[in-house]
Amino acid sequence: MQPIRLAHLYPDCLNLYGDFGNLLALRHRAKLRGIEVSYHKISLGDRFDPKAYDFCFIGGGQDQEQSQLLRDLREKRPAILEAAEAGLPFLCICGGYQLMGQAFYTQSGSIIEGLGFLPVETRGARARLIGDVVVSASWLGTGESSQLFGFENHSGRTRLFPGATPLGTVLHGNGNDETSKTEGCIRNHVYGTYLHGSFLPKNPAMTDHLLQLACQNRLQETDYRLEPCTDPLVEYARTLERSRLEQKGIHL
Amino acid sequence: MKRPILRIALTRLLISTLKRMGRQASTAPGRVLLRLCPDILARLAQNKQILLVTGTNGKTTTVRILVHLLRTAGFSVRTNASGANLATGLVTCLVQDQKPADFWVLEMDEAAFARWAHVLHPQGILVTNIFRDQLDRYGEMATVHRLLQKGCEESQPPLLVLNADDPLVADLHAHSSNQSIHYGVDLRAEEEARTVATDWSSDLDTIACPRCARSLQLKHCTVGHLGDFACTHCGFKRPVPAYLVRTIAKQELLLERPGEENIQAPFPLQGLYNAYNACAALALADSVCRHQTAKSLHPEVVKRALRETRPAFGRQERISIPQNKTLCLLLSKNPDGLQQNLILLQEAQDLGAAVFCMNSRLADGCDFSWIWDAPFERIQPLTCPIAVSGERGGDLLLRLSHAGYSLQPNQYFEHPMDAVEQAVASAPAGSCIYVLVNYTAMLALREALGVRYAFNWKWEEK
Repeated sequence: MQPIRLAHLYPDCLNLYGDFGNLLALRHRAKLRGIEVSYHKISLGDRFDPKAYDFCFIGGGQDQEQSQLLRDLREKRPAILEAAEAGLPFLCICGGYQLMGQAFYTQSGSIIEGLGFLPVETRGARARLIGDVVVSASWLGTGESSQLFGFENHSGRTRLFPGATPLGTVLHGNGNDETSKTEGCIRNHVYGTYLHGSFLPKNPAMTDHLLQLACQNRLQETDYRLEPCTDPLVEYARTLERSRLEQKGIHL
Repeated sequence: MKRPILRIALTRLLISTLKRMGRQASTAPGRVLLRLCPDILARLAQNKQILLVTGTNGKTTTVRILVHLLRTAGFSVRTNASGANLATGLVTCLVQDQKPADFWVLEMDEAAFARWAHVLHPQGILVTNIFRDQLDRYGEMATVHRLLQKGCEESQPPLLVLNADDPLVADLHAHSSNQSIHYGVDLRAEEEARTVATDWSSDLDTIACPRCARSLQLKHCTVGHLGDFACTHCGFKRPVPAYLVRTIAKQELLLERPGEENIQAPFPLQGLYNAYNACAALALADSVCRHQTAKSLHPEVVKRALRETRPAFGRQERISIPQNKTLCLLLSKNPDGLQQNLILLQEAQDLGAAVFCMNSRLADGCDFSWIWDAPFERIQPLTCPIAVSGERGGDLLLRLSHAGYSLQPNQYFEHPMDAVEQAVASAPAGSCIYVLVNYTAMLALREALGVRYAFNWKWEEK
């Protein structure tokens, strides 16, 4: 297989919460199967070619950098939407997730228009939601591998529009907001979530799912399946994570 | 509050009682007094020449070097207890010793600095750097920049000493007519290829220009986002440092300062960040000395003070253990600090084994995501035996394995001391076992190591 092309949108502006591990995890799981990856940074002023990549990552950033970013996003919007509609897998974390939605209503009353792909909208609030999160994503499979571990740190409260598909159900923590018990949103192959940690290294089922989609894109074969593989270290780290949470009184 | 004297006396009594009970008494008495008398800090600061040190990394070590430089130059100096850098700690420090001193050197937390600096009427302010640290506590780097700018503007110190290599610090100013003194590090002359060129690393180096919010260009990088920067949009660029470190090789610093010969000084603290700390301390001590006596610090004073510098609490402390081995604790609590320590390990001649032990309690920051921003990919993997522990041991296993380290689950140890014992056993005689810890892991390990190796780790007074 040709190398899987991973695109990272705005790595220099949207880089706040240690989300780089998501790209490292994709590379790691690909390497276990002998699949090569290449890494492409796309920032302000760069062209985003919707057909040139097999996966796209967007992280979260600082408020200050947003206005310049929003101008640039407006220019890239048609290309990003084209890619998302065509089934390119996206992972959008925190600020990236919010930007993929319809709109963000700030606390001061202004409205930031999103890229408009995910059927969600977000409202700023004073209190930040910070802490460990565990999500059950039953669509990923049965058993404990469908439990996703992460860390949330956001002031936005995200509401899913009727009929929208969440990433999963919150077992611990907040997720999209304090009340809905939903976390993240999925449309086509675009995955929005609040989970940091980094998210993918500790959640290999999710990583493999995204990697498989990326491989399908690369090969243009929708029925391509990744070879199964196990990494004893990541399974062990998940066991340690579970016992860390148990020691904090979080029983799953 | 009309009569604070009685309250001050009561607080001193509280301090001496606590100390007699064997307690540290570094913040609690201040908390009591601040409650009783909210303007106490301003009252205590009256008629004192105060020098404030703030920033993300290096405060404690910079204060140590600064205090030692000033004392070696013959000034009497008092300072606050290690880490007691909130208002409560400052009050405790200022209240317990009313004996006159030439200078009071105070380490201040960034948020406490913004709130209280102006009531202290400082003679000098020194800002080290703004790094990502404990994001879930303080928010973003831009917020810290605003906090520090507020503190500088409101307190208008006669001397403002700033890190020229950190755009967010170099931009700070007290008045519109910026009379700041800048310091920096430029090792381009002696730098070797200690790092791996790779794209596979978080783009922490790129930050927005504090003046126009466009991306800053980093022409040469020393650590993290520090270095020779310039904004192609608004023209803001690294100010020319008046105080500059040129080389750090072989535990000697080559220092430049205005209007004087260069100083070549032995300096026992390893690592690039300690070169920054030394240069910062020299810049403020020398400026203060020029301000007070119209003369710069004598070169012999600088050499002696730097040569005699010892590591601060939990920073590069070494203890001797059997078989001629040593243990060295390295505090690593954010991506840049960890990067510097990894480079230090890679260059260390005596590396025998490495232990990574980290927690994520409140004092560490509950979000451990930062470990993925630490640029392990830019530094060759260590080839020595590795042991891992701490509440975040699982995350550490993953981080290291993703960076190309070949690890097995049995290299994780539930109890930190078991990890240390394993590392000590696998390290050759005469070598050093480097232990990379974050804050609460360090506190716990220090105590356990003290018991295990019968070493006296007393909470130190400066």
